[in-house]
Amino acid sequence: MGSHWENYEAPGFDELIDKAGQPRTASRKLVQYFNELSDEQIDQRRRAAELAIKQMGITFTVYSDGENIDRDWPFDIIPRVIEHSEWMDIQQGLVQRLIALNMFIDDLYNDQNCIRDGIVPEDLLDSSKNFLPELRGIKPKHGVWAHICGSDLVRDIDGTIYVLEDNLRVPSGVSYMIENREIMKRTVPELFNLCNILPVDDYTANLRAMLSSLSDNPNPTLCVLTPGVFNSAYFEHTYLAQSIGATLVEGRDLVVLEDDCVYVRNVEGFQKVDVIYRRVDDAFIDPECFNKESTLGVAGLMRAWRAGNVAIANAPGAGVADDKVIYAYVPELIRYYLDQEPMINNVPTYRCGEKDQQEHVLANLDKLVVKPANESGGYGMLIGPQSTLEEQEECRDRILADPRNYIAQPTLAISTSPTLYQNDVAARHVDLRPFVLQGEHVTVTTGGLTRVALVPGSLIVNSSQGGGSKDTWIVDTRGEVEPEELDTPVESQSQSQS
Amino acid sequence: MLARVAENIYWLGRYLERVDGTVRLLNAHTNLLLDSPYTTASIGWTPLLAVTGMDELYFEHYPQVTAASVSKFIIADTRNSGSLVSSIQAVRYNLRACRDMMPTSLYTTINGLCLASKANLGDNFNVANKHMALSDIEQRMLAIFGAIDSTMNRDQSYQFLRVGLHIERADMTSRILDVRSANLLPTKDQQSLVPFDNRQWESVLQSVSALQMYRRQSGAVAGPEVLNYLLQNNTSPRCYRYCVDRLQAHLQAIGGGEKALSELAKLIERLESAQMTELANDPSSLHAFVDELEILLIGVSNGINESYYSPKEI
Repeated sequence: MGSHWENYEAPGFDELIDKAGQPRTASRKLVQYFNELSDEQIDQRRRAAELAIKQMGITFTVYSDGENIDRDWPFDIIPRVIEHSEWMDIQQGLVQRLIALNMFIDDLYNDQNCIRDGIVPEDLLDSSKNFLPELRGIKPKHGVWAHICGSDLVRDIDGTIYVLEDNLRVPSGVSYMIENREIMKRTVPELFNLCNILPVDDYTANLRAMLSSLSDNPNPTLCVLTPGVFNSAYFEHTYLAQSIGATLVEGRDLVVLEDDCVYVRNVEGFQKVDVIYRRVDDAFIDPECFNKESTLGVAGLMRAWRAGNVAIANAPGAGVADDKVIYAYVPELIRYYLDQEPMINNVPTYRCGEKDQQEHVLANLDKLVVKPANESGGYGMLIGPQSTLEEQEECRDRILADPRNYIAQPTLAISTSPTLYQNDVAARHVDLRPFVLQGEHVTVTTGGLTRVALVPGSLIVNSSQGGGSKDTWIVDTRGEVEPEELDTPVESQSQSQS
Repeated sequence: MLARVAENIYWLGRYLERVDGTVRLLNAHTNLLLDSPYTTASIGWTPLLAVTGMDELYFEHYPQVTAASVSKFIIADTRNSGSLVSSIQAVRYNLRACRDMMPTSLYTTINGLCLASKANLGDNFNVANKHMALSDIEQRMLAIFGAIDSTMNRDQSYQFLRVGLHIERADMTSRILDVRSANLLPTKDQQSLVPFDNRQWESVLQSVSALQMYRRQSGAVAGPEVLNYLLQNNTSPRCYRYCVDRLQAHLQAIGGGEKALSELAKLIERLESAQMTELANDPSSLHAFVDELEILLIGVSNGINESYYSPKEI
């Protein structure tokens, strides 16, 4: 192997390079391409990517940054590669999982058979922050509550893919997935001739179709509800609204009138809204029902939704399944609702709410990863092997104070992928967030957002804490692709001045 | 489209035009002074402060009027809300709020302007590089106007953008006219300032980038003809009447703007009744007239606000 990879060492399973130090089949052409580049050429491509990100305005916001509300998106130009046939299996597993989750949520808000049949304990709902009992009896269209799900996948040291968690409230990142591909097409277009890389931009058409399927109106009016310009994912809200032809609205642009329908304040007056893709949390979505201080929501929105006059994706209350404790039951839910074995497994999970499991966790804090049930962004986590005794003590106190709220998992040796570091290639831990859509049909993104922990040795991939991302390639290795022949001149068709 | 976003797009248009107009004005003024060897900095540069209405603020921060300080104040001083850097910040602020309505190439050209401003017009701005900085903005503005013309759907977002552009251009033109009518460009003998000699009128045309088009249309430069051209000509995009006519057309295209249109009708009536020869020969009448126009235009702007941006009664 060439000079860039001479010292490449991966602590466990690597996405591109195998144990013998050779590129995997799907990555062969990619690795060869990078080998043939000089340091200068690699640097030039890296800078071109940074420039493209700046020009395209691909940003995100970290709240602690104060006035700097737009940070450039951190991106690494070496893609992460998954072989097509493996991806097909993963895709099936994701579809299976979301179907079961939606049947579960619908059951919880209706007959609660899963509790009656002892699949999940009754007190699970009592202590669930996101279960909204006032929504019982509602039957949204197609029986779907979580229309958009971002399930985080990781790969363990033996190469097995596991679901780490299901994000069912307002999962974000898909716009970056699509823009990452755009950046690659601009900076290393020659790579796309060398391999069969499947396109990713069908997501927005699927999203539009899924949202439209939630309304009985054949030509529905779609809105994307954003908390506003200061939200960390504002870029994504504008991107998606634009891509699906929806109006980007804030709470103050919508109003619910006496007919219990939702209207948007247009220049000429009010226009009825059929579907809202909301990126505002449940608690803030309707001051009439939930947090009364909220200025981000629409008074009466829940009234309109209950009456069936507007569809909301993801439905309020779907977050009940976005809970790390419920996550632990998902394999049983798949068996119960679908009578199938899960195609993708959960990471082994200990529930601190159960006495014997709690004891095991407290005895092994230095070896486990402990997570609060309802936080996102990687906050509030304890990574046992990297923690101090003091941090472990604090964690112990938090668990004892609110045991139901904590789960623990063994520290996975999650896979790495080659990432540019100064002028070299180094192994960095990665995860994958594919997005699954369910309305009338179920579709999955081709690949997903690969997040990479850019800090050496770090396991935290979230962008708000030093993470970045890569383009994710699903590569079809069936049949070699020859580089395109040089264009042959064609007779000019257009007019010229004579 | 959303009333809230319509307002953002309108202000995006106004601030974009303000950037463009300020660059043109600065370039014309700099150029003019290069050809005025007997003019002191104070006499030469003070009028520019008056056009932007920032004279008082200027003297709070700068001890004297010099070419360098006035240029810096107008280009890169964030304390000046009318400076180029402040206007571009306002462009950026409004662009964020209406980003989803912009075609990609329009977004990237405007974003490019904002990034360039951040890089070049910040604390590190060196007035010695003024020409390069202004030239860069000029090029970017051409690209932005090009993108507006060739990529935007002719829908309401386009109409509101154009309303903002035209109202701002009309406003700037009348302000330049106002100041230049009051300030007399001195000749060799600084004691006897000759009012309204033809060079003076030429310089006014230059400030709004209309000299070349004027010459094609009307030939020789003389006071009444220049005033007539600037105020009444409806085929040159730099002229007041043209802007006002386009404003009317776009408001009619949007519909529902009766309040704004009736204010606009008053303005057009006043414009049409003006006696150009009289105004050309009497600076104080001209000043009073332009003042009236400015007030009427503010009436139009308030009308737009009332017709479109204020929350509707439920």
